[in-house]
Formats: sequence, structure tokens, C-alpha cells
Amino acid sequence: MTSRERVLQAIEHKEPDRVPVDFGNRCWTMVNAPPYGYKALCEYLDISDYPEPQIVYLMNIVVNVDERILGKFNADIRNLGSGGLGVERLPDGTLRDLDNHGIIYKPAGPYFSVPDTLAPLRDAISERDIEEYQFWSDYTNPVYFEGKKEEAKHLHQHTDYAISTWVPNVFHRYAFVRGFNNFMLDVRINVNFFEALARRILETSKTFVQEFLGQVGEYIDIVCIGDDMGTQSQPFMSVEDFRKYVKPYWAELIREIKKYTEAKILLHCCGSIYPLINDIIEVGFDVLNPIQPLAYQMEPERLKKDFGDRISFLGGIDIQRLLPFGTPDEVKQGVRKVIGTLALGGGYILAPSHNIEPDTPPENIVAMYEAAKEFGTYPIKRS
Amino acid sequence: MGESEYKQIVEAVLVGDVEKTKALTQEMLAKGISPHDVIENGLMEGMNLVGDKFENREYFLPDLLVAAEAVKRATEIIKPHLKGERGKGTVVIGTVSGDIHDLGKNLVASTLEASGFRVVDLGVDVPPERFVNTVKKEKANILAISALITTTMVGMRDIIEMLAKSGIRKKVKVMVGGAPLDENFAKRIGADRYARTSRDAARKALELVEG
Repeated sequence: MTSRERVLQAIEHKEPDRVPVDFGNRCWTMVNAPPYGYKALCEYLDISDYPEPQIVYLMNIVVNVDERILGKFNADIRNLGSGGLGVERLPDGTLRDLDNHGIIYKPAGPYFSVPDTLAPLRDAISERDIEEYQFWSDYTNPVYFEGKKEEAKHLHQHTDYAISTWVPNVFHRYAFVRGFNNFMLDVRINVNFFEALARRILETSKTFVQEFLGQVGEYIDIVCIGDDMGTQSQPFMSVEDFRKYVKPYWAELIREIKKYTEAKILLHCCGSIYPLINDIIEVGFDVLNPIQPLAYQMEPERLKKDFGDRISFLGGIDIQRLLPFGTPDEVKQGVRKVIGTLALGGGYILAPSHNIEPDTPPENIVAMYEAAKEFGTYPIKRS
Repeated sequence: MGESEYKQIVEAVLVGDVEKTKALTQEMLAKGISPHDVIENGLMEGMNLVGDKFENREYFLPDLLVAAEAVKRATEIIKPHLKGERGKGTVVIGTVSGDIHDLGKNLVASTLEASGFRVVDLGVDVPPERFVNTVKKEKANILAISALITTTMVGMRDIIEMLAKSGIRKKVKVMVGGAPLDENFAKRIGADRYARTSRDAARKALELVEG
């Protein structure tokens, strides 16, 4: 069975030969910072000639994890990135992300912050302010897609991996160009402005979909959208507000995606989002990521029982306590338990519950993927 | 002033009606009601109910933030009437060095402000010495520190140690909070209180200053 078949079968709720796994993709890879991080993992695995880490700003994550590591971990998915203009360094030390509507990043420890106080549209009040904003990314620019069709075709024809790619979200960007607090306030006291800005961002995301998936759609197995809606303890907004202010925009983006590809669609949506999952299924997502087991009501048992026959899960191995603070043996037992819950009847791709933080010892990361091998062969024993 | 007048402003905060909260505040001050009564019986009472609903997950972030916005705007109207009084005391608040998360921290700051504290918000990624210097300069009663990542929460211990080295540990109470923390961690690093939520933080802050 090829990796692609394994991944697709799992998403279709069939049991493949073993639980598919993944690593190194933009919301389930690792942070590039001491004390451990990517460098320590490479050293631990005796790999010294790895390519210069390719970093995604904001989370400071590595998106070109060495093939030898992906091979050792049995990663079943490879990601097709898109090109871009990159960031512009501003005199005050902040960075402007030209590919994400001019969002401003401020270096902060091993990461970057996107402060509300630097959000470019924080003071906007009218549709005119939105239209006159000068840093809207133009996704018809060929810089985003040059050579991508050939790359996608190659990955599809000459590798056995399932191929994923990411398309722009709507509300994560809203929060960043407008400021998170303003995002939350807009749905209460600024609804017309909210609709205009969300519409503007959605249209740019749809343009990206048209231009990008128009070329590579036939070679892609999983289209990913990352649009967070939860904190550790609850969704950002009530399910009623979610249905009114978020769901219609996601539905429209999904309709656009489906014009260009038959790929499965994955939603990366952090935190405690249990009350939203029925609607997430209804709107057409096939896979839910990252499944943070310590967030309120996000226990694997609960999710499998309530939604397991209607949506698949990718992620689930806790990065908040288990991976950084567990022993390798505890990590293995933790992985075994999650597999024995989420993987029954298919419907599960094993990965960390978000990017692995730099306080996680490399032996725990290795233990996680060893356990995936050890306990991941079907038939799976129920936990 | 009858109870029903407070009921109105409490209700206005509860439903997040910014304009009505402001108008009622102005009206009450014009009628000669003491600014403290407007805060305590009106704004704070409303914010307490909002905080309870948020903790019970009846309310979500837009509800909480719009209520906080109403209280903030009303407080701006009241401030000139307070004649330099400090209310419940001063809180210095911020997110630890290397950590950029501020949603929870902002909620705590707003709730503390609504509870009558003067709040000095240092923002995110705050170096330990800045916490300590500000506590000294502002003669703070409480230092509230937030962290959302396992790698940064350990920095809280450094701040508490630095307070001790500077000889001011006994003069200020330390509260800590953030998703990866718990009661045990707070004890281990020598904090006075762990607060799980913004409402919890307000309760404990009042406890700390009122003994």
C-alpha cells in the first residue's frame, strides 16, 4: 500500500495497513529555536548535512524538514508550498509580510508577535479605508505559482506520498490586519465594516484558489486551510455567532476549492472548538486538525465518539505536557492510547497536536514516531 | 438613587451597549451620584455578571470584550471625577519575556480595571527587570504575570527571584496565570496566587489587597 492510498483510505474511514503519520508540515512541524528545536533533532539523529532550515515567520517553524527524518518517521504526506514575495524589513525592526496583506510581525523571543497595536487596519472605519489600503496581496502575481504545476505533477507522478497544500484563510488574516480585539468587537458593534473586510479578505483567498488550484488542483490530495476559532477553554464566539459571521465565508471558500480539485479538505482550527464541529462537518471539511487534547472538551475519546464517523482527525499527540515533559516511555504509552481511540475504523492520521515547541527533547519526538510504528498496525486494539 | 437606576447600567454593561453605558454614566454623575458608586454598583456589578457568564461559557469573547469596552469608555468619563483616588490599588501586569500572547492578559487587565484597580499594562514579551522596575516606580500592590507557552512560563520564577534580590518581594503580591500553568506550578515558583480565569484573577486580587 502506498502512502497516498494509506492517507486517503484513512480519511475515508477505512482501515489501511497501518495508521498514517505525518511530520514537517506547517502546523505539525517544529520550532527552530534552542534549547532543543530542529537543530537538536538533527544532531540526535546524526544528521549534520541538512539543508538550511526554511522558516515560516510568525511561529518560527521549519517547513523543509530533512527527507531522512521524514523517511525515518514514515511520514506519509509531502507538502507543496507556494512562492511569494517574502517579508520587508522595516526600520523599527518589525517585518511586513508582503504575502499576507502586509501584516506586521514583531520579533519576540523565539517567535514573532502580531501586536494589535501594529495591525495595519486597526483604525479603519469605512469600506473606503479597506479599498485604499495599499498592501493587499495580489495573488494573480506569477511569483506565487511559477514552476508549481511541474512540481505538483512530479510529486504526484513520481512519489507515492499524499500531496498537501495550503490556501489562505479568512479570519486569521482578519485578526491580523485588523487586530484580534477589534475582530471580536467588530462582530458586535461594527457589523457592516466586519462584512466588508471579511468579504475583501475572502475574495483575495478565492483569487489564490483560482490561480493556484487552477494549475495544481488535479495533483493535490489534501487542501489545508488554517483558520483558528478557539482558545484553550472555549471557541472565540458562540455557535450562533459562528454560524452568522464565519461559516458562510468558509462555505464560499470551500465551494471555490471544489471547482478546481477533488482533494480532501482539511481545517486547521486550534483550541477548544467542540461546539463548532457539527457545523465544520456540515460545511464540507473532511479532516480536522490539530486536536489539542488538553483543550476543553477536545479529548480524543469524546471527539471519536461524537464525530468520528463523519470527519477524520490529523494531530492529537499532546505538545503541551506529554511531549515536552513526559519520559520517552510515557510518550509511547500516550501515543498508544490515542491510536487505540482515534484510529479505530480509520479516520486518523497521527501527528503532534501542533508545532513541537523547542523545550521538547528529541528523544521524545523519536519515541512518538517509534510508537506510531509499534502500535499503529491494523487491526488496532481499542484503548 | 433607587436600585432600578443601577439595574439599568448593569444591564447596559451586560448586553454590551457601549453608548447606553456611557450615557447612563454621564446621567448618574450629573445627578450627583458618587463616581465610586457608579463604578462599584454599576460598572463592576455588570462586569462581574459578564465574567460569570464567560466562565460558564454562556458568553464568548465578543460579549466579554464589548462589555469591557463599555466599561472602559464609561471609566474614561468617570476618571476626571475620581480626584486622584487610587481605588483598590495598583496592579502591574504583563506577559513574560519571549511570550507574545496577550488575549488572556488583556482580559485580566480589563477585569481588574473594572474591579477598581489602577492597571499598568506593560504589554507582551516583557523583560524581568522591566517588571521589577515598574513595580518599584508605581509602588504596585500586585504584580500579575501571564505566560501561554511551556517554554516561557519558567521565566516567571526569574521575575520573582529578581523581586527578592531587589528587596521588594514582601511589598508586592504576585499573581500568575496562563493556559499551561496550574496551582502547583505557582506554588513551586513562589507566587502568591494562581488565577485560572480573568474573573478568578479579580476575586484573588481583591482578596490580596483586602487581606
